[in-house]
Amino acid sequence: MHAASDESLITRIASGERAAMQVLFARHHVRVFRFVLRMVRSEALAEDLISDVFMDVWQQAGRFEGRSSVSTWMIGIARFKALSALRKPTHRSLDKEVLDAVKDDADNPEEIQQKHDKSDILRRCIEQLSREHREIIDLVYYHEMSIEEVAGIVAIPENTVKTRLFYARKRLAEIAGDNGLDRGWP
Amino acid sequence: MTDEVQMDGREIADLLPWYASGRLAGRERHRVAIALASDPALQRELALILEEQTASIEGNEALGAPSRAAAARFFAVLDAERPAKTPWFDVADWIAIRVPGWRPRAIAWGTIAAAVLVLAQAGVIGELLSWRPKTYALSSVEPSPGGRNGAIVLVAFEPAASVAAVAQLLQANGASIVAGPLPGGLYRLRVGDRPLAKADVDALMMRLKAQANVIRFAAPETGPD
Repeated sequence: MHAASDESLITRIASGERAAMQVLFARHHVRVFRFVLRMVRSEALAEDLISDVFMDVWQQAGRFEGRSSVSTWMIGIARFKALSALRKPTHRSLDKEVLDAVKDDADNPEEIQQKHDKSDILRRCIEQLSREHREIIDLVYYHEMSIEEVAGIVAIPENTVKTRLFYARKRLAEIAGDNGLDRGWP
Repeated sequence: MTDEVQMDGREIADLLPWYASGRLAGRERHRVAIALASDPALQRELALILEEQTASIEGNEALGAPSRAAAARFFAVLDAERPAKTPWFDVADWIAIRVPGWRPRAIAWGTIAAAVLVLAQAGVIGELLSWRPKTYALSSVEPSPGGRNGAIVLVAFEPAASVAAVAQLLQANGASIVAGPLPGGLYRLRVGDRPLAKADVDALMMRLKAQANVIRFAAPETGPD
């Protein structure tokens, strides 16, 4: 028997079916966790937030209208939760602190050069992007969202999605250049 | 030149990340593919994008997964939140939410359409649509239709079974739902179109009970039809 679609799981969740919630949770919680963790940069907070996200799914499943895919809907909820958490004073400085720590780590060109691993360098460079740029990079490359889906999640026009990704990639190339990786672009 | 709008180089390049992730619609994907075939600069940029994509994926994979305790905490909260339901009522809800008009639930229309289609393919839609909410709680009993025989069995469906799985089971056994939900969440099925010998009924029971992921209970109806 083939696996139930996300949409059918949401319908079953709307009727209060716990088993459907377990399937949906198992299917998506890691991606939602990673998306949130990239934003809040605290595993404990990210774990709390995914619980909030899936509780929203449980409570709002009956109102899901199918205008977007379920995964897009959940990432949208997760983004809202993460941004709300970041606005709280306790977590406002966390992003910057961790970013600074990451940047310090990545600012050692000798160490980076020794790795001779372009992908590893790029990973570290992505960490140094602004939250907005990192977010769009991950939404497109890791979460494989379409232009329309990213526009819906981030609440920006589709053309802005394209230009924001262009500038994120441009900034990534600059950071890579600063770290000794000349990508020859743009 | 066709009537297609010519896209400039930057416009094509801006679509490359979605070309790489396979998220471009057919027409745009076709245009990008054509441009890529003859433009070395675009090919180089696509190679860079694939590197970025790999780095993003690896970066995310390196984040690991939430702890098992996180899942346990969530489901503990969920169990405290969800209203207590008896399994029997779950069965009624299970059917009701899939047919428009039975319950005032906000259900995605696409899902409803798909569910109805599956039911129709199984040949049960006629019986199901004949139900009315007013008789829903009274376990409507179908008057014996003239000229139709077949074995009558009582079943209870697994709440987690999908509509497709139920439809498939009904179709495979030449069965249709003729009444339900009866008290206790049971449904009355008519199997075949002629009376079955006891051995055939026993074999039918074994087949139904073997579908444990769909059928929770099955028994031949012993009373008059």
